[in-house]
Amino acid sequence: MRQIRILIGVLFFVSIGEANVALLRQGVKSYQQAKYASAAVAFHKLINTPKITEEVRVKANYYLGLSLYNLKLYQASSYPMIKVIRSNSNKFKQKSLEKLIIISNKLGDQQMLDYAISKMQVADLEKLAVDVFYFKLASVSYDKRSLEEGIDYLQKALTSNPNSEPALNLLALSYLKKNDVNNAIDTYHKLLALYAHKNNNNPKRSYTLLNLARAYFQAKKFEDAVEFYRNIPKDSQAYRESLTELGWSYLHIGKLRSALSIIHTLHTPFYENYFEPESLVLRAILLNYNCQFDDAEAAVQAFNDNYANTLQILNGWTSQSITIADAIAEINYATEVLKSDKANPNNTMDNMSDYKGKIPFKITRSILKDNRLKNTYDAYLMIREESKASKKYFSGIKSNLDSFLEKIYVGRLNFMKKQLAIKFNDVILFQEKNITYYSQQMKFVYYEILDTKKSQLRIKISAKTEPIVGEVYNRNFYVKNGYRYWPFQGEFWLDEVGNYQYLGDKRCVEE
Amino acid sequence: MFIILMIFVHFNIGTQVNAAETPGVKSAPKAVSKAPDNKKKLTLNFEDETVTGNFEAPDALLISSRRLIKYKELFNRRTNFIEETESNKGLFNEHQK
Repeated sequence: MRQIRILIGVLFFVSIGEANVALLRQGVKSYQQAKYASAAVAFHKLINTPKITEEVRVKANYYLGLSLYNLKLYQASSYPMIKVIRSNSNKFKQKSLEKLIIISNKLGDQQMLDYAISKMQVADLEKLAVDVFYFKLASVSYDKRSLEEGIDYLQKALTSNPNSEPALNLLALSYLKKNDVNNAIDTYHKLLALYAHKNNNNPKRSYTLLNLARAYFQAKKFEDAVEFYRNIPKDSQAYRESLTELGWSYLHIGKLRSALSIIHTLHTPFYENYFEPESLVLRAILLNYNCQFDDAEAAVQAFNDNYANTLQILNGWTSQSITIADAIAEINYATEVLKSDKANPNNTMDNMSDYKGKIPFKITRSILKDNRLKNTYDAYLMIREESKASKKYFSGIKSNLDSFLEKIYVGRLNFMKKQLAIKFNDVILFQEKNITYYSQQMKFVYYEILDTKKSQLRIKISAKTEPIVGEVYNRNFYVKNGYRYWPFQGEFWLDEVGNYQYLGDKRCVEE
Repeated sequence: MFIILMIFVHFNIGTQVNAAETPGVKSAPKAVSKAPDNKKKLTLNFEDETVTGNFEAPDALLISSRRLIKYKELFNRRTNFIEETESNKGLFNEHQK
């Protein structure tokens, strides 16, 4: 009897062993046939089967991670990969580490990357991940402000992959921070060459042009800076950001009319819902240089009307305790408006009176573009999309995998929301300081306007009241009060933007 | 009579004042405070103009009227756009398509 019991026990364990092997084979077969959802279900079932060997468990985790990775469920794929890395297996550990570096790069997850880097040596990497590995080391050095160390890592990354866009961009930025402007300019030219065959309004191409213009500006080569600012296409996202900077460039080379033409574009209703306090300060400075005191004082007044109230609102926000839900709600209100704006590009959002957010839309809009928040927000959106996609892939299949994935995504989304709320508040504090700084600058400009006005009154303003205008252009649309000239019939903002010409003459009287 | 006159002149000669030396304008009032040990007489002169208000942050317009500040030297003219360049760093990362 006892022998029979032993025999039954042995047969039982052998049958389990065979079932596990069969499940493993089924999973591998589905993976090889690119049926990643079925493969993932099989591997997950195998992992949760009791009494499997460590070797089988590690293999199943590795293939589960790969299956989820191929389904573009990157966040979820990192969990089984980390289990493999923590195991004693050498065979799959290195491959999992390489994959984890690529996943952390896709998600922008610094913590995950730090973990992966702490577990590996660069000699173990396959060529594919070397540049990513060095790029991430360089990012860490950059954040710690060790620029020389970062540049060193970036040059290694570029040795492995000379066309690595993130590495070239970060290298140029590091050179700018070191004020090594010649190397920064050369690096931006290399990066720009990579986009030679892209569309003119490709975002990366436009922003590379913008950054290159900024590098020339920093090098005090203002004519070259103007050339690159003007090459940015009007329908790209970088165009509006370039306008104030182009105004500064024109000011440095003494072309006040050109600077005022550019600034006028920024102050049309097309751009009224953008946060641009600096443009008003620059406008007041330019008009003061030209002794147009009424217009300069109007710019000061416009600044006070737009931004004094904003500062009070931001002070109110930062002085009270804000919940995560409040911060997320502000972000959601602004993104809803942005989505509706993108759907109708001719919509100038004239009526923002029904905007539900507490913080003005133009501020939230600029906060969403801030680097500190943008990376976290983009990662949050990615994980949210992954969560929806995972429900689509596994809804028709009976398994525990969908509850496993849901647990991962709910946890990560809650964590990301907390991070978003913290960074949102940090950026609000930064914008508060920004507005306070520009308010101070505007006060100095205002006192300078009063000083110049007094000195000009003393000299006696010239009797000439009409500006000298050229005879080449048709003056049918000449507007007397601002010396502005519209070359178009009617109003169609997208054509007018960037085409205003300031024709005013110098108004200052010499002593 | 002549001797009396000479004695008067002798005692008053140091105090004779010419018209040219007479001050045309009354001098500002002087406050005199005596040092406790009577060795020196301290005089506080109130002829300097005073600025009323907070000395740590005097009124900017008042200082401007004294031409003590040139505001155009306080404008921060831009020399670089490094912060703005940093803000688009993330665009070039792989997950930013």
